Amino acid sequence: MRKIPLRRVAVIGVGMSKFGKQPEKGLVALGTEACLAAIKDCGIVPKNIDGVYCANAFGDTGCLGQQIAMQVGLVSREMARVENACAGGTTAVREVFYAIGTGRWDIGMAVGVDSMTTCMPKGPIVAKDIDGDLGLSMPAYGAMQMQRYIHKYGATVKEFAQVSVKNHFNGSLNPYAMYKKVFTLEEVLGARMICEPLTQLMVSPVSDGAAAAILCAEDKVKQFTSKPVWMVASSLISGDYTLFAKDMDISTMGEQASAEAYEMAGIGPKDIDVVELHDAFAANEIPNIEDMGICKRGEGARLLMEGYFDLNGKVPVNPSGGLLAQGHPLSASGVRQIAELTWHLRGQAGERQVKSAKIGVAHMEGGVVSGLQGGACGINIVMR
Amino acid sequence: MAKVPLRENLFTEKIDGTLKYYKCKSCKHLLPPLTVTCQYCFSNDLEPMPLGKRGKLFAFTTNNLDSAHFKAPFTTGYIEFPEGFRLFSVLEKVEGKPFKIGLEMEMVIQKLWDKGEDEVIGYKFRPV
Repeated sequence: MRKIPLRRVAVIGVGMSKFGKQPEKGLVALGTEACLAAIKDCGIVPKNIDGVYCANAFGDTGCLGQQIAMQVGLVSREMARVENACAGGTTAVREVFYAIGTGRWDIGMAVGVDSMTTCMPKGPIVAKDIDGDLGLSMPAYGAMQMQRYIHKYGATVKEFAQVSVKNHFNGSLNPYAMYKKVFTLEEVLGARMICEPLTQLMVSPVSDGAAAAILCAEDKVKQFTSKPVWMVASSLISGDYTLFAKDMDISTMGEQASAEAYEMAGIGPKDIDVVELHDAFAANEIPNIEDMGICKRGEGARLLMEGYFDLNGKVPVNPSGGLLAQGHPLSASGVRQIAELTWHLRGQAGERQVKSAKIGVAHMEGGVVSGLQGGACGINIVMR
Repeated sequence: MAKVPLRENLFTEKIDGTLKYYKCKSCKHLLPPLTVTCQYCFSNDLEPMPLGKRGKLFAFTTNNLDSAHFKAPFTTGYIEFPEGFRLFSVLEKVEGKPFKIGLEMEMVIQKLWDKGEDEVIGYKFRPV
């Protein structure tokens, strides 16, 4: 990856819509709700936003970014939609970051939106390839990922169920979470079986929602805040061939994206104060933590049970409740993570506030592609 | 009522024969069925080879959601071949031989589902 000189970029405004089953709203209403919240958050006059990247995975409408932006008075400027499955929102934030960092824009907005209740066929996300025909689905893959980890490291399903317990507890403290209910380990393990041993409560729910983030070049930040949250790194790597997969719980794109992002930010995983990562399935969280080098391979399950990744733990993971408690409107999640981390770094995260959070890492990974280990992994890092 | 393969180019000449895998003539690496371009050196000069029927169970799960072609509950998993690649497949139970990682599995070629008037022929794996 080529290094290029970049201006410093800050996150000045964030916002999200309500997350949940909201079929009456649709893509434009959800996106507008999030953008208005972000605009209100920083008090910007919309016409000062130079451009918009809109992330969206499912929908049959063209120029979605334009349809949303016009609702907040944004026309006649640079705009485009991006799609990168679960990493779509992360990609939109990245594009805005680079547009500002390279001097193309001074201020930009990233919005991610998906309306799964209205734009997606029912049933698990399945690729249209030979494996999809043979019954492979995302939950099936998650279940096997968990099984491989358990097999190699002597872990049990309990540790993975505990991911769900932790994240639902965090979600209960989050006014934005789709599900604010606390669940016990027994309830998670005893929920309806989806793909053995993954239960219903270990799968992120179908949800509609949007999130928006407004980023700003250093020399204009003072107009909006005296305590900016800087975006200091971004990485995005697509999946390698399945043929070269080491194992199902090891994501080489996750490892590479993490290493690149840390190098760009000038940090190591030991410096991280708070993490929002991709937990579409409770199966994903522990392997993703290890992909990010936050702990050694095979140690994540034990550390999780010891509370290491709890809200008041050494490295809180998914203080928002993650995708498990928030729901996962695909393209919104990556932007929602930036909103969440920004709130923590500003000290505005309410009951779920991670104390003295200075460095936050947002990780999203997903996408189903025949012959590849996955679609993409994207990481964005914010710092106070 | 004709027999059609799960995918074109999946089997050797006979549809009920066995799967084809590939050896790259340029770099000599072994490649899974349905490969068109060598993922090591990007050559298209691939030599077809008959795939053995045995492999080891790498991972598996029992699905409680119907898929397009299979009704729940059905078990699927990855089979690891000595040639170095893994295939995803539906698994068949055998009484007294519960699935576990590392279990020796053998391929069976059979009808997977009907496609209109035709029978779609593919593979499943079951414990040896």
